[in-house]
Amino acid sequence: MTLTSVRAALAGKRILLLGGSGFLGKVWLAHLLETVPDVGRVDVVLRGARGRASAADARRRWVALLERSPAFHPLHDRHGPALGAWLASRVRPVPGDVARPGCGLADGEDPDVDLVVNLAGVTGLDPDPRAALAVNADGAVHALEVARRAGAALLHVSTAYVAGDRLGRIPETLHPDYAPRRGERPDLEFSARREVDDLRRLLARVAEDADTQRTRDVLAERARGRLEASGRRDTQAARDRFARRERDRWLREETGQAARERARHWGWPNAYVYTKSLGESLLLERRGAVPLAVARPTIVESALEFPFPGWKEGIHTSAPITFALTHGPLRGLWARGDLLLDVIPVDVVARGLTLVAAALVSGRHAREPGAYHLGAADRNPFPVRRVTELTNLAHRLAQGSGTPAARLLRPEAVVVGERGYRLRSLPAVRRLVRGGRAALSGLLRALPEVDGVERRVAEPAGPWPSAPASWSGAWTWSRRPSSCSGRSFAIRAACSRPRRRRTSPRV
Amino acid sequence: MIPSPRMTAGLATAAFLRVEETLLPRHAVRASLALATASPGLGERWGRLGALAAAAPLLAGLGVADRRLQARLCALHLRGLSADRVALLAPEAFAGLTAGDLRPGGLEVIERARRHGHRVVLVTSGLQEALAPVAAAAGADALVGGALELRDDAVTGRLLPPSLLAGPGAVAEFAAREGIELRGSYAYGSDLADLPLLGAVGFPCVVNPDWRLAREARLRGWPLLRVAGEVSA
Repeated sequence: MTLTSVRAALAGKRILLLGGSGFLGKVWLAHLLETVPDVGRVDVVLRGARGRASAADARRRWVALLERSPAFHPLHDRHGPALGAWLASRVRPVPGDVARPGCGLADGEDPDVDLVVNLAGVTGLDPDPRAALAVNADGAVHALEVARRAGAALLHVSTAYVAGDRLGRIPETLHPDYAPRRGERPDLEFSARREVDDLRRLLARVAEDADTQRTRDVLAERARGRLEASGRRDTQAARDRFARRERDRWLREETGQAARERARHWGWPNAYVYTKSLGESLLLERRGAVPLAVARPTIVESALEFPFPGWKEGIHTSAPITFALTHGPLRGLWARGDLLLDVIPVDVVARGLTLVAAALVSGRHAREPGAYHLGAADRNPFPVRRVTELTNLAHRLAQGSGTPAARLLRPEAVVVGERGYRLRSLPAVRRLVRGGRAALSGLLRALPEVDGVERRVAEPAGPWPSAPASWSGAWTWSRRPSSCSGRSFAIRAACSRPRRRRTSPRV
Repeated sequence: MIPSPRMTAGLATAAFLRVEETLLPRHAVRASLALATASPGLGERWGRLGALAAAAPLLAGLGVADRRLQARLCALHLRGLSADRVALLAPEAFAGLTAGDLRPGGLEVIERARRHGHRVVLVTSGLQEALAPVAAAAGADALVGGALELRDDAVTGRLLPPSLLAGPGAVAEFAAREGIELRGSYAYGSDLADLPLLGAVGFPCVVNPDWRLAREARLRGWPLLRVAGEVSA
């Protein structure tokens, strides 16, 4: 067996990158530029603000990404003020949109590339199915068509969870027209192309329903209620704005419900993996002679080393759970302690993708078409019990051991069963809050002369009283009444890291 | 009497010191107490602390009669803690400890060993992770400590001896690995478990020994050292 040099394989190669502005996309791009500086050129397809797709918009967005994202810190550190000039010959922002035919690239302009890397995806466990279908399924086909026109290979990034709700050993292979339920019933009739058409029709029907006379009336009634509860002035413009929001919310809920039901029927747990799997099947059906590899990472998590240990963008995947375990009322995590959470650091995934890309462009990938799973559970199993334990320990180490009294009384999260969860977590807190609110309301009713107090209690404003010390400087906190009648608080954490100096190209 | 160390040509020589009597008594209880206080969940935390409080008279008695049994009993109270918790929080037991908290007699031995160019190796049957701050405060080159037995990443409650005293040949193996010439080295032991170490070095010495080791020392003609002084730890 002869070894392939990754750097040699990718040296001089031209790459079209879709989804380069996402979490994984940015890390992969920065990691590629750091580890394979001889790469020929990377065309980063960017949408531009508010869906605009002019060359100037794409350039503006690229400069903003380069300046603001910590993913590019190692490149800033390595090249300093010369980074702009260094990147100018290697990276080119290109206006486009993976959800559009031909990825929205300029008409008649066939990209001159050797490899198309599709990292675009609408992620999350409950995405908007219209966007998920457009990006995860249709977007895959658009990327394939671009690769075909360019005579390039395609590296498509999917997810390991396309396997769906199945038990036992599942081979790392790509199956045309795959549906998890076919594992139990191989004779089941399922066509991915037909499923995509059916889903599109279903979503269109829901959208039509949003404009029927009855639904409009129901939504207008709800919008009026929300406008009243918000305390804003009742003007025509405000009514229209609230009505639009109500329609969007209704559409999001109804289409989400429809897509979830459909996904579960075929054995996928949610619309994200359902649409990703449909995208894979469509690629297999239509790929023809295009060299194709599909990478399937598991849960992409914080960086191990690159750009720096622990970095993660935003609060996604397991971050909300760990945050709630240490700061919120969720002290009992309802789960099976021995269940494996297959998380993998984003930079490890980026390294894996670079390896697959090198194998693909040099014709050395394992199978045709190849599926590469990027996970960690087989080598480094991470049970939920340990997730909880390490979350507790990290929080404790960040906060310090504290006073003896604090050490004795400090609450920690634990893995619990259903009964434990109901007794000590959100349901218990909710009961407590309801009881407290009822008691407070009774007290306020007994003081009728104090006008307006009840309202202020229900809708607090002002700074959050006790932002965690460990977040000071890096985060700002605010609380605002939720849009639904001031019954609960919504926490908004906005990242306010100082911007890096400008070293990217002036465009 | 403190034996005078001497330089040996060739391989490095070392002074092995048992932490328990030369530097810091009663650390097993303190480490267990710290880890029990750091248990996850209020119920488990208070349960462990209650059990330790109930066993306090027994532990105090064993501190005089049988320190090994005391250490084992302390380890039993840590059963079920995760390996991560022990590794990360055990150093909290002696965090902030300084040389002033250690026995001056032991520090003097270390100082003399250093002056004569010996490597200072601390030996303890207590938890290696917990006693790392002690080694740092004493200015030791290495610490060889005991460990809690783990099964499925959780503490079983059994205390494993330090690798240096783990069985026949362990001392020679350690010396070969670390490039230490045993014939020119010193050992200051206080427990019968130190017998293989004391027998292997050229200059053995017993410090505040228990009655069994004191008897062996008399039979073999080893010098006996009394290190006094209460320490704050």
